[in-house]
Amino acid sequence: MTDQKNLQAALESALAHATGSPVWIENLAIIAGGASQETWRLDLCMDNGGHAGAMPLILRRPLGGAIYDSSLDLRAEDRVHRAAFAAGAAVPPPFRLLDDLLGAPALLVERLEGESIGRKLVREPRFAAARAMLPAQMGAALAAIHSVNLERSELWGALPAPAPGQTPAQTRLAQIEAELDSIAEPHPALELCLRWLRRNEPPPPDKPVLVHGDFRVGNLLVSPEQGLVGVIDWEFAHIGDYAEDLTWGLIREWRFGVVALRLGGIGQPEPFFEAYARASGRQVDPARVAYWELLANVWWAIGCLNQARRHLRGEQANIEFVSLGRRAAEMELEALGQMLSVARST
Amino acid sequence: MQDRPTADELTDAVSQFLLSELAPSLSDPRLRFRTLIAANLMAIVTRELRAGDAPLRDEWRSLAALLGHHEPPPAAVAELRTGLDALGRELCARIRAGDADSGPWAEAAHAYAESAVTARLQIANPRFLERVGG
Repeated sequence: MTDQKNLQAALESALAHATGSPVWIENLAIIAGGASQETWRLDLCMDNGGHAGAMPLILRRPLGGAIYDSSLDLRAEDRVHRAAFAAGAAVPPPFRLLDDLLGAPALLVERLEGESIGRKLVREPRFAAARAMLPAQMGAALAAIHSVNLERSELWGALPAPAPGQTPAQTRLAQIEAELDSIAEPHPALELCLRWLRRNEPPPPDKPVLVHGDFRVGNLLVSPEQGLVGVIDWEFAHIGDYAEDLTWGLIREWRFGVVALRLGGIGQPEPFFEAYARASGRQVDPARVAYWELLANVWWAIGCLNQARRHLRGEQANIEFVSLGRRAAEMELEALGQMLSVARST
Repeated sequence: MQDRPTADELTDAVSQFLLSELAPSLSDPRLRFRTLIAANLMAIVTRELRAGDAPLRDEWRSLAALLGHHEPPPAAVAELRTGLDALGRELCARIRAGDADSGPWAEAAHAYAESAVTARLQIANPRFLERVGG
């Protein structure tokens, strides 16, 4: 962990320079959050001509390594975040990107009040009203994210995108194959799924969209009264198939133990899909959903194996990461079951 | 030969300590969460120690049968592990080549993959299997 006093001094100096006015920082504290980055909360205090005020902010800085090879650096994440904000998606307002804070870039966004911890959101009674609102709110937020104009916001080139001549699904499957090879451990269940996914791809989408890449309960800030206040954690954003974002939040892993509620343990997918279809004009095809949900389980199995390897390679000693290596089998069993049920229904 | 407690009795004791004594005393939620993960990892090690080599030999037998090999499993555990890795790679290569796309061998390959994942979960997370099965 970064030394707090060093970080505070460096941040005060960088922000005084960036804003052109004297600033100081209060209440700097590290908080629970993303796996490949450090997340801090702080209040930025400014005194410009008697208008003293504190701005609540969140600061993120990179740690060593990443879950997947394709995760974004903070500069690209900042660009995506700004584009989604401009498109009217519920995201924390962007504040500043610092190119060099103690030798690494740092991203500052406004801090919205909300709970993101999945285990709390699916269980605590105070979020009952929020849970009822969330499916439709998630659908609307996702439609806004997918409405970002990729050309105008200059995201082509800044983000991972489908390989030339390949569909988003084919590109993702090639990534899975490469990740499996680098993990260097036989996983026949994943190989069977990969092969099935290659042979049963649905028609590609009319056009690729800005995909959040980690759209699920756990990466949503939720207030008990208003429901969704902000979509966070943009490090896996890329250009791809809209169905990926519609299905990632459905897999068992992101239901936080409330498995009967298929949308993140908080509701059913139908109102989420309906709200998305209303706002985006895209009808949600069940076969496409089944395909991408299977792919999501395979992708998270790979994510688990990779997280464990970050620890095993000595990049980052972390008991949570290393424990995931023994959890991949859960996703493998889930994926095998889904593959069988899809094969039977067709 | 070591005196008792045996290895699995030790890891079981550590798991119980982390779960029942240390975790409830911690006020930092992140540290408590990681302590619970540590307790769970110790429980995995305990189950793995108690199962011994039997799961490896079972896996060898079904994998070798699927691939049409007839050698018995090696006696030494290190060789058993190396051999299983090689057999697993052979199976993965055949799946990628399309051998398991359809037909009776495809069904056998699926059945093997499911049983191998289930066997891993019996060590790693038996409660997950109960929840999925029930």
